[in-house]
Amino acid sequence: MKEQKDSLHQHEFATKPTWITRHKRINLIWQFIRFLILNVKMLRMVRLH
Amino acid sequence: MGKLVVLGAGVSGHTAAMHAWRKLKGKHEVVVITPNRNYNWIPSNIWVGAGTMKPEQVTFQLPNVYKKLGMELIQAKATAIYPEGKTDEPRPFVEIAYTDEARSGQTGRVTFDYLINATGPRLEFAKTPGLGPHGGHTTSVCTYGHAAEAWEHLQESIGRMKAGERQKILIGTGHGMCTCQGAAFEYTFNVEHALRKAGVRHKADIHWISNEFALGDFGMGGVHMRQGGYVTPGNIFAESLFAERGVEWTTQAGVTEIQEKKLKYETISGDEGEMEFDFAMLLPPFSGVGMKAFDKAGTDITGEVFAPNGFMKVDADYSGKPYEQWSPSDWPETYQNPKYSNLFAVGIAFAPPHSISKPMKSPSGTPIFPTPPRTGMPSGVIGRQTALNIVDMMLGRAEEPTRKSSMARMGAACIASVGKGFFDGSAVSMTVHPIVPNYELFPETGRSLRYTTGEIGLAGHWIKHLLHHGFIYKAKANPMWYVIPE
Repeated sequence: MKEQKDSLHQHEFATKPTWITRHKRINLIWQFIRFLILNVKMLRMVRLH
Repeated sequence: MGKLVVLGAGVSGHTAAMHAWRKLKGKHEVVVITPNRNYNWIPSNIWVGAGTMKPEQVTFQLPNVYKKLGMELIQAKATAIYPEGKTDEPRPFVEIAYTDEARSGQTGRVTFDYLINATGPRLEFAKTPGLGPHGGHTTSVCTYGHAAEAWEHLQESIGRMKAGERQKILIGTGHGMCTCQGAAFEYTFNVEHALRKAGVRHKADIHWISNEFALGDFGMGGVHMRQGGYVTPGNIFAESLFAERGVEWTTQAGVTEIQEKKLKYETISGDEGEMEFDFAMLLPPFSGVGMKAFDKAGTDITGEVFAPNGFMKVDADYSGKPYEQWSPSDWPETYQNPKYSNLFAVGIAFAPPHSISKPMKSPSGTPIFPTPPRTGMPSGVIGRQTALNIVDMMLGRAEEPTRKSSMARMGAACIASVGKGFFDGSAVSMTVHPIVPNYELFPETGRSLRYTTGEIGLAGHWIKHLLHHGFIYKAKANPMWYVIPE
């Protein structure tokens, strides 16, 4: 039987990623796309100087 | 031939020196004075502290680079500035104390036409009794040496966990007025990642303690981002990561005393508490390096050139106006000293007009809030822009600085590592525009919601790793270094 969680613990008031979000964070194809997008975002910051 | 002297060869000073050298070589002289022989890519120190990099991977010897460029490097510590010269020296000069083995203990003078102060901070461990690795009870990741020592202590804790002992790990800020929460944040999750890899995560209680009002403040007063149809404050994302990785947190806390395996803290609401730990990495507060300034007659003018915290005054508003009256125009644009137009300060060495986060005090009057970060991308950009302004003036193209780089108009990209590994690593990738909230341009949240973004994932780690190698390649002045942006 699973232990009862402390519903007043600070972690219980925080948003948590869903399974799909966690999966997307390590999925190589998705992350390669994000890698390209993040590079564009960073270059945009460079251009803003 | 004119002479530009740069004090310090960190991210900002080294960047400034290299850009100035590139434009001035053969026409004017560029001299760098730094007490350290090694360049340290400080953003990667957190990996040294978590055992995923060696100190030699985040450092290289500066003399080799300067020899290659034909630029003079003096290994010394600047102790005083004479911006008007002295009775026996008509040109402005800095007084130095050599730190290399051959001339250790000797002093000298280096004259200049223009001076960039990029000395970085003094690490003020002494402000909290018991803080720091020099006779204290905590570790640090502020230098590669400190980080290597932190990893040694962490390994001891890991050894104990492997032997079945439970360990309390405490990471955060060691004083009510610290900055660089981002580095402590990265270290927290890199330690958590290292413990998981070592198979002992279940034996560790990891706790974050900081002077931020809320998680995700990072000394920038927090951020807001568009997410899921809402304008969401950054603490929601920060809390999410802490909860996901099982890290507990205490915010609004100023650490007041550290004893062996125990610390005391005070909160903004006036509560006092104690926390036990087996391993702690707590950052110290920063101050200026303690340089003095004198006029031609030898009168001490340190108070006119430097702010009380030891950082150099530049073209900022130091009137000390209340929080409600803060404005983007308080922040410096050219980093030129108001009294001496040939003195400039960049990176951590310039005195900010005030904090970015709202100043808070406990009922007993202890200030507990983050001081403003001036590291990373803005530090490099300000170094480059200031150097190019000086280049224009030395080459007679301009009478005064023309390039402006206010942190209230400048954006920044920040990749915060939360675990190192090509397949299992992760990082928080953030872009923020502008760094200092500008409610004149962006009345809703002080920042552009188009350009202020954040996400977590493996791609961020790849970028962080690439940046590590890219910036070290650039700092070594390898071919085409100048095409890599700051």
